[in-house]
Amino acid sequence: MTFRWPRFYPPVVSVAAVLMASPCLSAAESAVAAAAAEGAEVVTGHLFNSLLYLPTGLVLGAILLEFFAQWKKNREVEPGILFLLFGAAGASVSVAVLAYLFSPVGRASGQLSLFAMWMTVVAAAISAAFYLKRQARSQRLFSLNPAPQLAGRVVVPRTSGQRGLIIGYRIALVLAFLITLVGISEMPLSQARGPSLAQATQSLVQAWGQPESPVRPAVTAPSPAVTEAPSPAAPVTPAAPPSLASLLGAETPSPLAAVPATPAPAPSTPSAPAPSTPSTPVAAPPAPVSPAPSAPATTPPESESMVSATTPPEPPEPAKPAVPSVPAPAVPVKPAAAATPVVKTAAAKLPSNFFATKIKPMIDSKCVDCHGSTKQKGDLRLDSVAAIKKGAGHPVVVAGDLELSSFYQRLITPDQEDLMPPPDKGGPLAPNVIAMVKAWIEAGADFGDGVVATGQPPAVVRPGGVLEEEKSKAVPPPPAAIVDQLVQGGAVIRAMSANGALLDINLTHYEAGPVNLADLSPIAKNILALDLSRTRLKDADLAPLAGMTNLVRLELKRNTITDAGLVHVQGLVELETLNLFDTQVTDAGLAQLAGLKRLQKVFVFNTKVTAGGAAALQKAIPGVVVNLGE
Amino acid sequence: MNDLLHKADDLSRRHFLAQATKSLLGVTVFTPLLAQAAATSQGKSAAAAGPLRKPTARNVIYLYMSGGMTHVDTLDPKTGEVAGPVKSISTAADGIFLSEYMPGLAKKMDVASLVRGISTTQGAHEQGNYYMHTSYTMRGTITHPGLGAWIQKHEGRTNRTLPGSVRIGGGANGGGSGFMESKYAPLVLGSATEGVKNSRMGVSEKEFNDRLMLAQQFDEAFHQKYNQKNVRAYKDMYDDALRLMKSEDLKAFDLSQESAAVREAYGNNGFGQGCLLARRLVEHDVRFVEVTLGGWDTHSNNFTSVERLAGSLDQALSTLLTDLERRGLLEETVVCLATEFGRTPLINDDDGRDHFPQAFSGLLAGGGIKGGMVHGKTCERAENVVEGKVSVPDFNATIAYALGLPLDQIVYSASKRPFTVADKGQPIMSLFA
Repeated sequence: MTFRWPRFYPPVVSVAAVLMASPCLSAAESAVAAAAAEGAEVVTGHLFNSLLYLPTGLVLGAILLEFFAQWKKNREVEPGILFLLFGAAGASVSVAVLAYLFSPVGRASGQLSLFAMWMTVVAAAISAAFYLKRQARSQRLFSLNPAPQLAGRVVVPRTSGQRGLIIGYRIALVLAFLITLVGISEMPLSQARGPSLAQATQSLVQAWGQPESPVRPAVTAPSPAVTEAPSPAAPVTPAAPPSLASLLGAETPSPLAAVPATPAPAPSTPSAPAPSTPSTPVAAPPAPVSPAPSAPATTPPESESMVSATTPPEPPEPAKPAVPSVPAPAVPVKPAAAATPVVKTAAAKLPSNFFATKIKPMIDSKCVDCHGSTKQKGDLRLDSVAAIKKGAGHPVVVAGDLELSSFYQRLITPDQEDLMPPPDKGGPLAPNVIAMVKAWIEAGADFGDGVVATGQPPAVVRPGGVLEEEKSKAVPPPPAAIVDQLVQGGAVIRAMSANGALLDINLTHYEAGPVNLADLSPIAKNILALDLSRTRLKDADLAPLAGMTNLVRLELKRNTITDAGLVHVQGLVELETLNLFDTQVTDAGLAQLAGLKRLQKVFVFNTKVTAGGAAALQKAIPGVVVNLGE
Repeated sequence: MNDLLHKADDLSRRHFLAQATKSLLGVTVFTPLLAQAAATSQGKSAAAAGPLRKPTARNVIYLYMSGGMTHVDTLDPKTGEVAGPVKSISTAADGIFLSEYMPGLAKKMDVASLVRGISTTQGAHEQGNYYMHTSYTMRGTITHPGLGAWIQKHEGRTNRTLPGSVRIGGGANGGGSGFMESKYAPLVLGSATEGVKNSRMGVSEKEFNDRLMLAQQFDEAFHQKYNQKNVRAYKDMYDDALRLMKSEDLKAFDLSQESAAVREAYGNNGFGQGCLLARRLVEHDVRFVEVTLGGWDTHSNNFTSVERLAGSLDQALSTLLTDLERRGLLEETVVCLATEFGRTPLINDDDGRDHFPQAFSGLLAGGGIKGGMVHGKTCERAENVVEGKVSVPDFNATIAYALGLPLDQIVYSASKRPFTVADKGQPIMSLFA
């Protein structure tokens, strides 16, 4: 018999599906990069994690059965293969849909959405395999029909069409299997933690277009560290899922179009700052909290970017290597006017004797042998409240912050070398003990000594940093095109704030023509520090400096600049450091700077400035140091 | 997510086809995920390691006391038996005392801070030197990069013409480019005064260019056949060398540009001139300059040798600090004094001191590090650290922190082993303002 083309040749369908998925891949790739930028981690729930392995398992089963069917021609099992493939296709579609639904809520949204794309491809491949297998089977049975099974097994030579179907089927099957296997094994999934189905439901609700509904479904994961107090300065929450309508309306079809089971959400308004987005934690503003009275010397660190980043509801990452964040001294933080302090409340209230009755006995029996009066491994003692608070050069218990509490992290780390107690000394502890420690730290690590922890580590920033962080919020980030152009030309640019809005620009080695400060005018407010050493600038060239009102440090050394050039510096009231070494300025020029009350250091070695001029400036600005180089 | 999908709208046809072909052929199958997984499993990725903290320094002048500088006779003076004949003197910073061999530094203690509780695990020169430079202990299977290479790896050079890292008067044990690309290796100068060797064209420019062209023709086929990182590195090296030869900045290496008075102030010896060169190079935005002063291995006649060595060190270091300060360079330059280990407080029969890794001292100044501070303390006999113990990685992490380097960003060696700058060391935060 001759080969009949099916009406919808499945490979064509699957190729089309892949083609449709592919445009979104590039976008997803960039989203992955963005997610990586946040040190993201996939946060999903039980259901997703268990469902994830189903397609792989089913496809593997199908492959094994296929081998079995080939072996001694066990054709009877073929319906089983088809059944498994059908299940696998269904499961992969479900996983794809779930991954897509989770992607707005997980921290690694890009990663999940990319995963969803690939699961779509897998679903297409499995469906193709299923279809091809059935075609091949029915054609074989059809060709057998004229010669019923009279003489046992009848070997009928395959037609070329049948051979093609079978080869296509096998390729699709193996491809689907490899993709799921590689993909899943490389997914750094958090096991059974974090927001789960409730959040998916929530995002689903949003996707169905009820952003203004004040529904607050219970978030399953307890999130004691997250304040419920709505903050006016709350940054944008992760974007709401896109509506399918807009997807379908898009010029390039989305991979979801290939997923039949996707619910069709009504168009939502993603730009609207959804008043209630309980599935996403309320981002804490970078509250400059005054240092906790309890233990200012052991102020826990917090990287600056974390300050503005969305606070995850479930912080611990067991896989994180036990590199504690950089400890920092308590900087007496200047309270910035614009900031609203966040009131943190411990969610779960534990009895005040919790430490004495539960934690202390555990420490005494498990830890003190090596971290007590006889041994102080790692310079850590845990035999008194004061010692625990002192930590090991860095705090080991940070109230309310599991991630920074190495006391907790070392209990749960998968790294056998870091695990406490060490594996040969009874580690790891029982899950209920670990849960107890977790609850205690989450509830504010109350030692029962009357010192109430604030529950939030104060923002740790470098000198002036709070101010700068505040400042950086007021300044829009610099346009990438300008920055790129400068860097191409040889400028060295470093970001000086967590959001990258404030910059330190060095133009000494600018090669693309003479330095023209007017080029910096569009980003004038972004410049925190500017190095113009040896740039051959003249007085008149300095005029654009006047617009750089956020400038804190200015290097003008080794230019032929005179007093006339300093006129443009007069209005830079934020200026703290000014380097005029090896310029032509005089006492008169220095006198023009008297209005810069924040000035701390002026370098005038190798200029015409005299001791008298320096003294005059020091009189005008209390605290300024004029370095004459003598 | 919305942005993400909107991005998908304006794909060019070319991009669309490229993506489609790639996915059809399985080229990109999970490669983004693989890369992501590698980054995520470490908790941080390259982008995340961006400007988390504000750097306070840009450059480092690293003064290395080769042989093991005695801490008791220099930065951590004691009284009684262990002190020998050396007295202590008060300094510009209240409550800080230095050995009488360091009168110049004593006057500059208002800008420098001492780290008195360093403790290392390596008691032999080669290993100790390696550990101090790389923060990793020596092992057969890999060579670790030094701080100069780390700076360039993370942040690149400031001056693209001059080498990113220069080492004056020292050997090459530790502190090279290690497993990183060889372009991060320091330029090694035997002596400060001789400048960069072979940096002048011995022939006319035309002839020089002809020769260069010829060399390129010879190389071309090879480069095409072996288009690999290490082969390309050679080409980069040639390009760098050429750029340097033609550069105005080459005069940074020329000490004769300095007045005789300045040269004299630094001390008329290799180390002093090395420090002067270091200042010149930092002024031209070389990011990491190491100057070595050898001869500290004073197993015998400790006090004769140390008086001489400390004299050179003191003169050069105090002049360097003053000179950097008045030029405003100390604002952005960390000056660091380091050695592989201390020396026994107990004076041996040869009037010398032996290796002592248990406790020793270092110095940090500038680049955002507070002056007039002491971190750590040794006991009365200078034998044990009783307060503020600092490991070698901690010490190096402090420098790296000042530079704003991401301490937790992992860089993988060619064999995919993970390394971080200063190997998980914790910076000494009390030294930062």
